[in-house]
Amino acid sequence: MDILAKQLVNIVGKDKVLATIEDRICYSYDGTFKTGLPRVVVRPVSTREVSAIMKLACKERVPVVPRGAGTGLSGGAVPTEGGIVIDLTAMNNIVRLDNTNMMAVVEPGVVTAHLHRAVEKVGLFYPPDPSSANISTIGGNIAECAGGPRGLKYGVTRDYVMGLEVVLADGEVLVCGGETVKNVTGYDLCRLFTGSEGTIGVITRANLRLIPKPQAKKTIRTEFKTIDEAAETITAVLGAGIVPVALEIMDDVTIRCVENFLRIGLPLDAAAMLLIEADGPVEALPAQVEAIVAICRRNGAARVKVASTEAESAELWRARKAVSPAVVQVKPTKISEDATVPRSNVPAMIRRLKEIAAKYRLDIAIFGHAGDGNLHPNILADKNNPEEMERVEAAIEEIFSAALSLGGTLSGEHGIGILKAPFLEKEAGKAGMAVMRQIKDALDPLGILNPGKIFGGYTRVK
Amino acid sequence: MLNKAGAKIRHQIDRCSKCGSCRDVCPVFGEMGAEPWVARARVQLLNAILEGKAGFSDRMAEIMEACLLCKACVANCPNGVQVDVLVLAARAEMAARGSMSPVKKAVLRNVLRSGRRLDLAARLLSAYRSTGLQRGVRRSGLLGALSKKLALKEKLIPPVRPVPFRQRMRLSNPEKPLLHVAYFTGCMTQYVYQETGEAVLHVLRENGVAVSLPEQCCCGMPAWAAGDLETARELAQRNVESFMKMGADYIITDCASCGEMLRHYPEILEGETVREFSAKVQDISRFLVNNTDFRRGLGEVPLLVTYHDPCHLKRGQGVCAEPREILKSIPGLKFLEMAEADRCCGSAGSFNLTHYDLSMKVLERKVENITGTGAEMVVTGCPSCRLQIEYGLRESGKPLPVVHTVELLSRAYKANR
Repeated sequence: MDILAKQLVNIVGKDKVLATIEDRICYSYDGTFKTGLPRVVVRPVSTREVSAIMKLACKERVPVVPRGAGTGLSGGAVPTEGGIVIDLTAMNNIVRLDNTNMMAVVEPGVVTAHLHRAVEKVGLFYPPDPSSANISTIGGNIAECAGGPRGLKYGVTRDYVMGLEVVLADGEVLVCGGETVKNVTGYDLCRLFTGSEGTIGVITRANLRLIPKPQAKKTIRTEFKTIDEAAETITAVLGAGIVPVALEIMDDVTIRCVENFLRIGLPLDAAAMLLIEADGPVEALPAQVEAIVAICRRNGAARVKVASTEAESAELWRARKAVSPAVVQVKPTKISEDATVPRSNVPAMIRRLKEIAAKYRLDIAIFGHAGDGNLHPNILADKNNPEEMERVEAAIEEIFSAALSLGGTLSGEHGIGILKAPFLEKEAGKAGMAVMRQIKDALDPLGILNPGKIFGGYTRVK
Repeated sequence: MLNKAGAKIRHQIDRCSKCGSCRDVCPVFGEMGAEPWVARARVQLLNAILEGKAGFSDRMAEIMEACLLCKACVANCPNGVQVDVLVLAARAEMAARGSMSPVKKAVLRNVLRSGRRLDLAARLLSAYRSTGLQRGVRRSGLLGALSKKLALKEKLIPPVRPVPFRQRMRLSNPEKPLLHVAYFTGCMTQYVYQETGEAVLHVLRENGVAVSLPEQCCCGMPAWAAGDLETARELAQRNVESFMKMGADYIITDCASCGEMLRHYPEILEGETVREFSAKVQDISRFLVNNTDFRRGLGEVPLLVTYHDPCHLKRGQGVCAEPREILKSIPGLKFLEMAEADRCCGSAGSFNLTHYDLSMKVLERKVENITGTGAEMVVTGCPSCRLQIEYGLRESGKPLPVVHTVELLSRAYKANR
């Protein structure tokens, strides 16, 4: 057995160390097409064990890659430089559900949807809902600052992290934030660790803020002949003082893919479809829905469907949820981007994406969270076609430039990881890069925590 | 062998986007918790084998064997990757390389292929119970002394009947039948749950359907699932030849796994006859709903029942509405849907013997879901699930009866007299 594996066995016991080539292969990937083989995998069950693992890694100068469910879309959990993968999914207890303080204390391995169910049972609500919620873990969500459709109204993961326990690179255990909504004591370290992609610490516990569960929700689906009409509708809805829970868009390419796949009578002549979900008190909801429907009609909506039951709502969502399986019918490789722009620039961004698709002769299905400008242009390609993949690479670079020139950002919710690392400086600038590097160096002087992520390149362990 | 099936397998592997959706539904992963035990990992391991980055080691065998083939991952996969096909391909390759356990190999090669030896094995098992030997063994604590697990596994031995079903039954067909079906009884009805077979014959007679019981052998599922394609092919060939001589309108089964296997024959055998054979195969519940007026003449059966979806019936053959339709049409019967009705019970043929602890954990959740309904009887459409669920209920001190859907239907007809 590998010497490092033996040392890990001394810390956590034999059952929690995986060192065969087969086991290592199973931890060599995440939700992207990138891979990297770890030297060994360890599945700790306590903060104490994580701390001891970090101390060992320091001593041995070995890279450490923290990992949740491995559903990330930027390569954050791929051990590109080998080393130890810490699989945190065995730490999966909801430690405390506090109704009075509306808070949940959880271990990092808790599956997001399990938390949703647990808190909703007692009338509370944890809004962040990445589309991988049935699988993803809270630890991974915090490390990547996951979003989801409900981000428009309720914000993203960082808006719900009140306190964290983090094992630092040297094995020290840091506790930051706390159990109060208000807390301005010192620097806001919770926000620093949220979205840090495992590069400055391993999250081992979190205090999550909860809110009361909305009483009811209603779903509306509508179609437009032009992107601009759809965009004006979005602006008008928000301008009328209504903040829907979700405001999802699907472009013509996406509509065609889904219709070919499901055959549910989607309009093949529409340029865009909007899926709008509103929630709130039972009494207030009908007025909100009426107002949204009126705005849609005023802006040229061809058809407006309002679901009145849970089943009808699921039927309206069906088209949106089928996007992923539908688009891979066209080409096997789907590269999902999440470049995000201010919502006023959504139509401009869609136009740019269409130009890029035409320029590089690529199929790009555009859908996503239009309400907060977080579009998901999905490039459909075949990774076994190197010539096409070259065009994909070029298109991606141009998509990033387009987003930045429209006042946007490289990533709304997937993170930088390895896939977007080469472009970080374009957005952060020289000063931004320098500050981020100083933070990284201060907290991880040996460079052992998730090397190569965010900053890219081969960062040799010091 | 992997190379022969190469293009198809390559295509399936390439479709996997590694999104991890299978982590949400895989019953084995649900209990084990580490990535190697989930579908996504098995797909990537097979990929590594094809790329020459991994081989057929013991660990690889362990991972590939710890799959129930329940297809929950397939049903939940956004890209429709047929993980079960990939796992079977890996198993077939491993079997071809001679890494199958000698006991399993002997059973597959020598017992399944011979009706006489199967009969003999059944008689021995039946004698083990009836002569008091079983009681003696249990009381002596002998097995427990050898290994605690052996004593537990011993309780999984099914209640085998001394005389096989097809030898015992005399057919009395209607004079002017509306349809003619050939009945594939499967080994479990042949040797264990003969009451299911009796109910099938009764229900068909009530509906004016003529039945024949052709010569038949094991459907081949145990061999196929273990990767022993040679045995599976031989058994399939014999069944096809025997059944196609009958000229029946349909071939019906009361066993989800047999039905699934029979319908898959064209994947292991070539030829138009094989395709015709498979096209005729129907699960008994689907046959009744589609082809008969089964609602006529139903009497009251005042029972609270719940239904377990066998993997090979729901995801294997798309049969899940039909059994419920039958149950809900029985007057007086109250149907209670359990949580996760289509989650695997953990039986998976001999999985409960080869992976006892894991199988029992999967079963525990099924038992909880069943008892959570407050039902007084469990209905299902697969004898393997039945054996497993009976065991689970018995061991947890809630020995509810478990029956096949047609048994309740038969009871309803009888209640009308």
